[in-house]
Amino acid sequence: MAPRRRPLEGARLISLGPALVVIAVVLIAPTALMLLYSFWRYESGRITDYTFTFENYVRLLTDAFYLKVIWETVELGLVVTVITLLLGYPLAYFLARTRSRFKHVLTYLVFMPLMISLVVRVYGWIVILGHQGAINSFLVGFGFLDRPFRFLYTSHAVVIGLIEVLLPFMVMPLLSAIEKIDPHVEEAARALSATRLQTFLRVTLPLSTPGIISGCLMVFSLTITAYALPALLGGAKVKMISALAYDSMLVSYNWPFGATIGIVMIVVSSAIVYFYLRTMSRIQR
Amino acid sequence: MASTIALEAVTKFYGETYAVGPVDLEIREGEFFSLLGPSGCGKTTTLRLIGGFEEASAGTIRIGDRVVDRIPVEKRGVGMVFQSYALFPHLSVFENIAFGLRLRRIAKPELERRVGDTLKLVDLDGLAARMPRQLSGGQQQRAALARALVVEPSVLLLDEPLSNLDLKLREQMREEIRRLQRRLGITAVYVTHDQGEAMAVSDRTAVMNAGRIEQVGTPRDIYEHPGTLFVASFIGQCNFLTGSVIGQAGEHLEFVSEHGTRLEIARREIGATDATVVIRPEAVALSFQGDVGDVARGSAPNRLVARVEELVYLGEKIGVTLSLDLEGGGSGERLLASEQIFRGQALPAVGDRLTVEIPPQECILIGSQGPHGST
Amino acid sequence: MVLCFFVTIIYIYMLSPIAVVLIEAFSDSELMQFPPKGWSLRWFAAFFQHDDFLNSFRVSLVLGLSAAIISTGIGTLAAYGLVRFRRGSQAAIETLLLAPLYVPRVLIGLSLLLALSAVHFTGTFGGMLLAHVLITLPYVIRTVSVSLHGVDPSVEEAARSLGATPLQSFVRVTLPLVRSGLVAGAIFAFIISFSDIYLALFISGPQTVTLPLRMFHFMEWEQSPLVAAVSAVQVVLILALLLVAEKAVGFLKAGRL
Repeated sequence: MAPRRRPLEGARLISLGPALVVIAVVLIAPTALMLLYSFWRYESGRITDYTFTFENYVRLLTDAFYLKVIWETVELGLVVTVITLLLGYPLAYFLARTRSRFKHVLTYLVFMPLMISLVVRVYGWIVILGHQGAINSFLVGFGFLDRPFRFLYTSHAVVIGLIEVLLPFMVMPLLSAIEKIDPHVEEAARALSATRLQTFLRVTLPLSTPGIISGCLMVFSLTITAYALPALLGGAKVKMISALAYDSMLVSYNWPFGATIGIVMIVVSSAIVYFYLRTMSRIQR
Repeated sequence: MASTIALEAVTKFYGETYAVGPVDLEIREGEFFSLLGPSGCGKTTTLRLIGGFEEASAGTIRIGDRVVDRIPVEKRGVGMVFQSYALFPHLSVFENIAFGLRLRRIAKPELERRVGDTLKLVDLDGLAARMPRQLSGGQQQRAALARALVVEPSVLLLDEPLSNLDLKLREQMREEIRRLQRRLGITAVYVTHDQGEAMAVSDRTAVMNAGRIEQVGTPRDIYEHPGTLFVASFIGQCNFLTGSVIGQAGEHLEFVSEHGTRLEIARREIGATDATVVIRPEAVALSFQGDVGDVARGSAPNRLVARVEELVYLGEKIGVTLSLDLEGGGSGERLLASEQIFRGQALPAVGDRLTVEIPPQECILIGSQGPHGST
Repeated sequence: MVLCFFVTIIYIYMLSPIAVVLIEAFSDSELMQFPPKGWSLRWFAAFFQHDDFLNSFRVSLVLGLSAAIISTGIGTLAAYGLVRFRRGSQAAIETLLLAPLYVPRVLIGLSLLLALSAVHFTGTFGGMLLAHVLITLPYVIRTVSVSLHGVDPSVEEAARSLGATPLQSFVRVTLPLVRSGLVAGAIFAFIISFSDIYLALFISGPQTVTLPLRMFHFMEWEQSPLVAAVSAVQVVLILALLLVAEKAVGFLKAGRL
């Protein structure tokens, strides 16, 4: 039996329509355009002559310089991810298990900085790490050093800054995952004479794995695509993939190449986000 | 004021999934009509089709003499009371009830009068300024009712409105609803899974099962003349004896069960010989005062001997599980009998043999399929 | 407990940049140095006299408000469509609508640069607005969806049965009931728009230099405490808005990203 016409479809269209149009016009179409650009040949002056070519991809993926940048970006990503995990896990565990009446406030304090512009926080790090900044003033003032140490414009500064900014993204899935672990499970282990450490290693940690995976994926993805923070804290010394993209687009106006970098980044981050979302939905289950 | 409702071959599919139909139904003006059945039988879907909350996949729906298929909910003029009451949480009781009137741009004096009158009608006088969350379950129910009634709909639809209330309140509220309905003369369609409730308040009931109507009739019709096995078992308790009709015996039919029990049963045309006989427990008459063991066959039809297997004391009555003795020896079917007792009466014990008598009129013959009838 | 100690250190680590900025804003010196040698309000004064910064502040405010309004409108409708009209394509549409959350901002900025220049729309306010609507939309959809899940669908059907058209039902019943999600969404939209740096880096023009972008460029060359003062004002503004969001809404339910 065929169902008759459905007036609900009209209402659905009206409600979802505008949002979908925005997505299509402002996200999907430009991305498609970026894909096109990545296959066009660069011609300085005109930006492109619209001939089809693979040379952008070849250049990006075979040239030693670019490969080095890619590698360094990935390396940075791994370092940041690991350290963020090491710092974020205890924080998440604490928040999940604490019975303090400040639990809400404390959790809020973790996520609230995300609302403050990145630029502000980077400036904060400049103040802390700078020549006459907090740390140097402390070290020199108390006589540990003769001269200020150069923290800024190194990859270390970038790492420190990135970790601080990305910690909430690690904590969020971890917190979800740990909260979902029934605390009685840990008590059961203790009752079976496992020490706190053993309980942690054999029970809590394995059960929180989806959270670990999600958090790492998200932090890694955000690190390798970062631009503003490395630019300000790392200066010219720390060149990441996104910086190359920015330079291509707005300095050398080699848009095809910039687009190529963009496409490669989208492919990689989409893969990461796909696994992230899958793991997250397993936590919610 | 009140309207008739007619459904013709109404069917509902959700995509590929069958839900209800084809359903044919005629509800009279001013009638209190209930849709009765187990969960998932389609009664709520049917109600929502009448109200316009769902669109039928096929068939026609009429309210009064208007064909309402294409008419959206807000123009059908039906009042609806939901199972969850669905009061507007952000509005006071007064505003909840006034909602429909405000949409119709009723002038302030008249609006206030009508809301006030309705509040009195449902006994919520004085609670007009309260918010829904401050009301008890019963009060919320009445507020929902008031809200639906104040706009004077021609039809009132109720979707299991009492299922969230406790027993005593339920009985009280259903009487109130019935009273209101009679007083206003409005046509009401009431959905419930509680057969006792349906029997107590309805003028007529449709028993539904798996998307189809099994039978429509007054509560008495349905109880005394169930058309199908489903209806018989859904309403009240019963005993089932499967077998076949083998001939006539005067004005009765002769029936033999699978186990060989012979019964004379009331004549009924069912167009088949293989059938089931349904006997209500209260129709099984027990003689256990003094007549124990007295087998006087031939004086009355359907007089049998049975052994008491179990006995349950229920205060005003006893429930007795019996196993019938067969002519050639051994035991036949089990029967459930219920008998009213008085205080101090001596009761049979497990293992006793009793005489059991079942009047032929109480043996209801039902074909294996049963008709999809509507009265 | 050891854990508590460790966690305290982490909190200090996480919150120090913001704290430091707030303190530095009151510094007296020409140069960025910490701890400040003297205290004054001079940099706040400088901010309020600095045409460029003031202009950018205005741009960011207007942009944020516009993006918030448009986003809230479109997003509320979309949330309604998602929650009330569930169909087979549900998951796909939901993924699409939340996609801007997961696509790296840099790439959104980059691709928009390409797209906007193709239609000669780069550097315009309209272009920025579109971009900001895109990135704020998922936040509104999320908060409104959460609110909407708490509304009994029968309530809307009840309104319909009382004679309300679908539109009237939406306006008189649904909207008031999702007000908290709406307000939270609007506030988040404003905050996200106001703090964006990535999109501005790629698609802004001389007329549309947002405050974060202005600060970014300034910081590439100088590091005077002026930036701290501007930042402090920003932080106060954002915190005030978050407080309003708290009052209007239940807490972390709307705040979890």
